[in-house]
Amino acid sequence: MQITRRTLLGVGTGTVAALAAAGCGVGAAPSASTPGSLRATWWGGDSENGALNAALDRYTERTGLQVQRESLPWDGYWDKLATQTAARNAPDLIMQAGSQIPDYADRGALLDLSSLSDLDPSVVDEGLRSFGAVEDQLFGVVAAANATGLVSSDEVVEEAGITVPEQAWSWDELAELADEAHRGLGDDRWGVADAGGDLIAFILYVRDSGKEFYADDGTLNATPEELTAWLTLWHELRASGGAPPPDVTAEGAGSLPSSPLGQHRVAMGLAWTQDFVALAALDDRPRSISLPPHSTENPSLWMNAASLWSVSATSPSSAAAGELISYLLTDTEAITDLGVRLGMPPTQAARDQLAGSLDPAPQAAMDYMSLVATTSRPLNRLWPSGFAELRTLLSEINEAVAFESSSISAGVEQFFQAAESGE
Amino acid sequence: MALLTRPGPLPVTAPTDPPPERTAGRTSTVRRVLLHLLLIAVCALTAYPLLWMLRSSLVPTEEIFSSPSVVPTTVDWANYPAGWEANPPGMGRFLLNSLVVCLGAVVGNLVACTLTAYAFARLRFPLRRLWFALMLATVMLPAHATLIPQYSLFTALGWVNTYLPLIVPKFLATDAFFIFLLVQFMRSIPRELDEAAEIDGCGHVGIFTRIILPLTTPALATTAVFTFIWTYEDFMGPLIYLSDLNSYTVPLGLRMFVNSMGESSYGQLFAMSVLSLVPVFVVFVLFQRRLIAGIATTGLKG
Amino acid sequence: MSLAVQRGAQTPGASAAGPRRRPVARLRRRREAVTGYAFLLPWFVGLVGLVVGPMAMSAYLSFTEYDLFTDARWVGLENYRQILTADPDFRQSLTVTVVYVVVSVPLRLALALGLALLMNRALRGISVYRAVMYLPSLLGGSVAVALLWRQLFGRDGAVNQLLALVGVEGRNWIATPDTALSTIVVLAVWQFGSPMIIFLAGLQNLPPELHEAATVDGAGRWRRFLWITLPLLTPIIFFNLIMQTITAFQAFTPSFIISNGTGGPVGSTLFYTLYLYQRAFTEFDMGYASALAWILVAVIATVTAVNFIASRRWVFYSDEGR
Repeated sequence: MQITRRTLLGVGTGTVAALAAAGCGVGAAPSASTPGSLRATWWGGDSENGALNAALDRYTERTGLQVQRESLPWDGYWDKLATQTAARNAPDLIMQAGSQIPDYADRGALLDLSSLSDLDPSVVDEGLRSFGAVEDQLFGVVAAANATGLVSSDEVVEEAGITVPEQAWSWDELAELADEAHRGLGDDRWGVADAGGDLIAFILYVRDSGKEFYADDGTLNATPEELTAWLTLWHELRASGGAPPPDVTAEGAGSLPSSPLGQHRVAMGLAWTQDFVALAALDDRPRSISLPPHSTENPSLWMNAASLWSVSATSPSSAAAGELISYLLTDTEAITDLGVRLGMPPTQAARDQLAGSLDPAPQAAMDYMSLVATTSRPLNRLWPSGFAELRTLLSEINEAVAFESSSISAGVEQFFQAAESGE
Repeated sequence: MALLTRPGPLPVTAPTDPPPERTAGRTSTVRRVLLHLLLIAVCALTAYPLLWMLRSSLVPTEEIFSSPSVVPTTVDWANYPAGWEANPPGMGRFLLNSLVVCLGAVVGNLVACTLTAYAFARLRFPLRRLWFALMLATVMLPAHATLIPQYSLFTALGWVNTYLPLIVPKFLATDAFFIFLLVQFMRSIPRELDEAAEIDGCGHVGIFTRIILPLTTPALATTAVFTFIWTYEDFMGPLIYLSDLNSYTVPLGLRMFVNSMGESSYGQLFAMSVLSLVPVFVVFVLFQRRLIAGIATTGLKG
Repeated sequence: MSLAVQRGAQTPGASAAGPRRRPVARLRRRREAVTGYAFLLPWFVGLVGLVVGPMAMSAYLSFTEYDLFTDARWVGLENYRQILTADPDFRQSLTVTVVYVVVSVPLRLALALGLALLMNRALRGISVYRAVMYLPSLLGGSVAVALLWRQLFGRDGAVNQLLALVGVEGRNWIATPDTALSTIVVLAVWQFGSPMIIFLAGLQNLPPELHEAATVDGAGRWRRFLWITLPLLTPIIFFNLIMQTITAFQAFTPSFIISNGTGGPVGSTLFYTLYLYQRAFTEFDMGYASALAWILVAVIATVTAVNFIASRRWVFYSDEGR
């Protein structure tokens, strides 16, 4: 705890001076790390903490480096990280999320990891290597991988009398299947959860045609026509009963167990692999995960980062942080410690090492990841900043269309306006 | 703001006689039964969520999300020991940490807010109204707007990752809610009493400690219990200022059961939520006794 | 009228407060001023040391473009101009918030006052009643309440099941834009515990002699309430009105009950501070959010000032004459 002259001055004469110094980038506040120690932050509960604590304890034993752990619940994690980063007091090693990292990377809050000689980013799967990259800079190395899949409730699918395809299929076929399912299930149960507001699903839809969602410079490649077709597809599905009405979707917003998929009120729904594992733990009714609509010539899926390891741009011990990331990704004992508790390991070596030792649901998720690895196409670049905003916006637009408080054309216009002004 | 104006003739007597029994004790039996029925009805509505939580801590996860019933179909207490053991150092430690912070906050608010309130309620000094308006203005700015500058300030002071940012501000009367509350209560006390005490040779300190404080017991109890409960429930403060898991408070511990990016343990969440209500409930019940100890029982005999 | 009776009673301070000579009075005043500032000292230290700095900082930031991680850039009144002229979300969130304040605060206060009056008596088990009634407030905006509310006001929720019994077809209260906010209002009213406790404390603080005297006068129950209890309670009613209004304007957690903090469905629960928070922490627009914050301060300050002015007509303080 160093108290600088400026700090004392600030406290003595009113706090504005200190604030200007510490808060707004006029001068950097001292980081709390001391030599031989490192601050690390991540989100999670019992399972994540247990895994990381074991791996970090082992690291300390081996190298003598003390790691101060700032583990937080997911709720509030981003508020605190933003606050710490703004005050130039961010931890050295930071767990990032795919949707958030662009906002941090773009504003210079994260270190370019390619400058760290002790960290070899190529240890992670090829499809994941460029995830944290913008041109030749790298802002995060994938800590855990995930992918979107089509999760179905086996009983409901059977009752509906449908078969979820295993080969390539189209979004129109999904719509037909959903309608068929609703006819089989009758009132109050539907074919597929409403994904019209899910930007990830829309990106899959756009990539189906072979192009990228974002151009290499970060501008939007998708066209208004595509979004119109997408929103119309879902609007018609809601009308026909293929997808649930908007109030049912809204009722489950933000809570997986209350969602139609969690409640077995739809036969199918798009979800991340970690959601599949969480859903499987909810009840005893079997669920499976399979490939969403896709084509073989233009794979639309990609291996995604559930979380990434980043290093703060203000870190005084970035080299040590880089070594630690390396350890977490490659050390066989660390891999055993972590297991799948952060998500699917991002390296084939780790997945091979863990194979056979997992519970059924994580094993199914892991098998699915292997399937995705063979039918995917890496993203061309890290999401541009403003991605998280756009994601929220699409779900708002879809909801407004669903409740008929906005037209599809107005929604499309709003989306592209925001996308253009965001950059 | 016309809150603080001249003193004037007094509308009430000084309670020189021993206070009589409270009049409400003589309600007729029929009335009494009706009253009980009404209060029980209200209590049924307000107790419902707790019973629902209790039920939810005893049943399988899927049932939590499928029914608003308060009757458990199965009773399994396993979530209690499991939740208690989860998230080391565990709920026991979080409870202890919370109690430390709450105790500090309660003492701080009781000392600092009463001093400040006395000045505003009873003393005349230049710029008093301006300061009073400023004091109220400090609660009008949403907390999110000052979060980052405040964090920068506490970082510069070297207080981050200690309990100081959660306790010290209370000793510096930053809780305008309670200052205003105490001002309102103090202003309900006839000024005549102060003047009588002054004649007996009391200074302002004497009036404050011997007249005002005893006569505002219900307000002090309210301040204490609300400070306790609100500090106990506070999520944002501990989230931002505490970084070491061993120093976490109850709300942080509870949120660790829910993980949007992984598996959540809802049963344990409910078990520990129910358990975490015990301390606040105890504090509340203890405070009940003080709440009814106003003028009526404290009196001003002698 | 019964108060007039009281006025005739002895006032021990009156004789001593007779005419004084001027220098003494001035000395006394100065001493009182010094004492006043001495009592205020902790508050001043907190104000200058902890409160004013961050407030000033946020005021400054409201005139800048500031994305949290890079330096703030001065833009003058641009944020304010944009908010007031070209921001539909600002209008939506202000509307939602004002409706919430106007509907929930009076209902909550009325319920709190009514129950406090009913419970301000020696009754068997009264402390149990009080504690149980405070329960909803203890739960606040927790995950538990969020889940429970969905099951009460959802499509197949308990409320609709009750309505079905009497043959009324319900709707999905919590997830329909027209009714989502009203379920939050119900929640706010249901959490009436804090103002009720403060009312109770206020009632306990009333000098019982007044009731005695009035009873001797032969004043009835209702009259005693109207002429003694209510006037003496006005400072506390006023306090609750002011603080509950400010709190309601800043309502933040309730929006997490329904929409998990998105403000949905279709912006129907987009509370002002939620919008402010979204701008600040999810869109990294802290300059804009700071301007939103200060506009809210202006709104709250105006409402509070109006309340204070109006209070001269109805709030009665024992330490000043009427």
